[in-house]
Amino acid sequence: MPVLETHKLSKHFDGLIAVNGVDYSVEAGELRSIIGPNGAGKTTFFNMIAGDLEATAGQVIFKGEDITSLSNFERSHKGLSRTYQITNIFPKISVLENVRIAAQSRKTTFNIWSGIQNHKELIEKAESIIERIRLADKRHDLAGTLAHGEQRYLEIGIALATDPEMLLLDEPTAGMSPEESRQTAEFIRGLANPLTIILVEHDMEIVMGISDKITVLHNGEFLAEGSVAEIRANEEVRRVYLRD
Amino acid sequence: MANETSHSRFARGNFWTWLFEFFDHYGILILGAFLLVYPFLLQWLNALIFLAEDHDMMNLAYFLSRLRAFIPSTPLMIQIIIYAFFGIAFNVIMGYTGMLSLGHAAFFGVGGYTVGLMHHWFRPGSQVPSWITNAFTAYPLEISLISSVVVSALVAWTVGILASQKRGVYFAMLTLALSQVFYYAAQTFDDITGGTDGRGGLQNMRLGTLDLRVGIMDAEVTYYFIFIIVAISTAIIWQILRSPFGHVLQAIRENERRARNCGYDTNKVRLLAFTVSGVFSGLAGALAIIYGESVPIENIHFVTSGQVVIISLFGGTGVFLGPAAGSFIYWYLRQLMSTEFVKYLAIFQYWEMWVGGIFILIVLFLPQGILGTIRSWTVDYRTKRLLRALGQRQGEEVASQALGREVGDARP
Repeated sequence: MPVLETHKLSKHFDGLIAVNGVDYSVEAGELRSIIGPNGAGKTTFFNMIAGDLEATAGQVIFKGEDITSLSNFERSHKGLSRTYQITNIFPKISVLENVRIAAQSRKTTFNIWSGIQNHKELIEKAESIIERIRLADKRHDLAGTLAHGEQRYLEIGIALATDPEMLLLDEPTAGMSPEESRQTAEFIRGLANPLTIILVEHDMEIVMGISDKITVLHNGEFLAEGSVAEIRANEEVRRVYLRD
Repeated sequence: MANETSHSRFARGNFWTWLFEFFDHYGILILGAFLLVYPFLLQWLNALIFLAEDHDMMNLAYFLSRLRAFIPSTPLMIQIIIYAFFGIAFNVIMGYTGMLSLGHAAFFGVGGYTVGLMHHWFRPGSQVPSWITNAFTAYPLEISLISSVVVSALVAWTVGILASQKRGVYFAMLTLALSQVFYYAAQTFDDITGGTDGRGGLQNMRLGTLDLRVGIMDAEVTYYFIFIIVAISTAIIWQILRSPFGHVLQAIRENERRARNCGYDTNKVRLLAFTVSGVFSGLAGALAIIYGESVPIENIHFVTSGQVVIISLFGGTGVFLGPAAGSFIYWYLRQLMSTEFVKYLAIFQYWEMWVGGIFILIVLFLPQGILGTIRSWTVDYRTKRLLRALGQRQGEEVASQALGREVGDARP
């Protein structure tokens, strides 16, 4: 059974059709990529899955449950977690607290009678995540003072701290050097299975390198889907996208 | 608050490092202890003046009495403490959640009016049933203070539901407009509220359980009564801000969208933060009318909303005690200008102008406020020292390795 499905998912912005009736389905543990030229509706599609945008029509089904009408924070509790194209962290809070506050959302929001130090398990969880994203020796630094690449990792760390089953990564390697990008791709590959990952990415080398399956959007519509080899061989995809 | 881990980072250092760290952790307790003995200090000063006069040391007596003129009196300290508390309550949303409310006078005023009107309505011989007046005469302050908390909670919740869905300027404008509704209500229904005159001549400001008369007759007793309530309430606010909930507030201030994506229902959190802030602001407003035994309509006017913004920015919204420092500066300067400075230069009677000028200077040159600036200086100083210490140690290690020696165990 697929973890995530969309049925005829559409988004219209005052007559502009950004996403038009996309059917999509992802199996558990897959690492999927969505590609397409600029304006293809990748990020809009993404935002509708994460709940940042309301769909004009269609359905989003997550683990067999219709989540179309849920807002983004409710979807987060269902097990969906995302990162943004433009780094989105808590800049004036320490690295550790950035991750800890995300982990805390699984436990409590309105607890006012204890201190955060009383919730050791959250701190330990945050510690283990910043270990994984290799920021352990910067745990007390303000997140805003980190280098760009480190902030991208921190954002993934924040997303991981909410115990997601599915991770939506919007251009995780944006602004990174080729070397950093390669490392990040490896890191993301390592997260997949048990996690299910959907990736929107411009860097073709990364997409082709790590994806199980690639979906191509064009002008808001589904164009093609298949394995790396299939997409490479697809004439239509070559025409609209891989012109080189 | 953010420095809970600082022990491990700044454990060693020189005297100044130690002192700054000490103030970071215990500043609020030191301040509390100082305020606890403050009326005694004033009394001792008075006693000293009399003693000097008795012993014909007129110069000393004159000097001390001049000094006394520059030391805030107990009634002024009452005012400072109440506005410090109001500012700290306001800062829960301003500094910690990042919501600029321009309507906090509504809660401050409603809290005050609740106490004032209850004292007015339920006085002996009024038309309400006698069991109410009897109960109220027995426990006037207990009943009216608890009522003011309940009423300001309801008002803050209502205003919050209407306003907290909006962000930024829209939120500020909505709170301003909604608070003006309360002001005009107080002005219009003058047979209930006393209109522009406010409600004066309140009698029986008394704590029934202890049979303690507070109010204008006894500044010291009123001071301690207010001090204790403010101390407890401030401790509660402190606890709320260091709790998991308090940290969600700061996450929302930093990046609301990220906080939502982490799974927090930020609208609900914002509403709750606004209500908490409103409740304590209402309590501050209730305390503010006790010493004067009257409710001036200014307390609900938007000028009071502006005052608390100024006070918070004076001291610094990034620091828990920032508004307390701001309140002291604001009221102390105001008092000093209109009673002392004015003796030498008449232009000081326009204290608003001077306070306004200082406000502009602070916003321009010390955007973190006075306490916030001091805080960041001391943090910079400590970080520099720490780095220097680290650098030195690394340098020594390199040097000692070059000499082929092990670094001794004696090094801490």
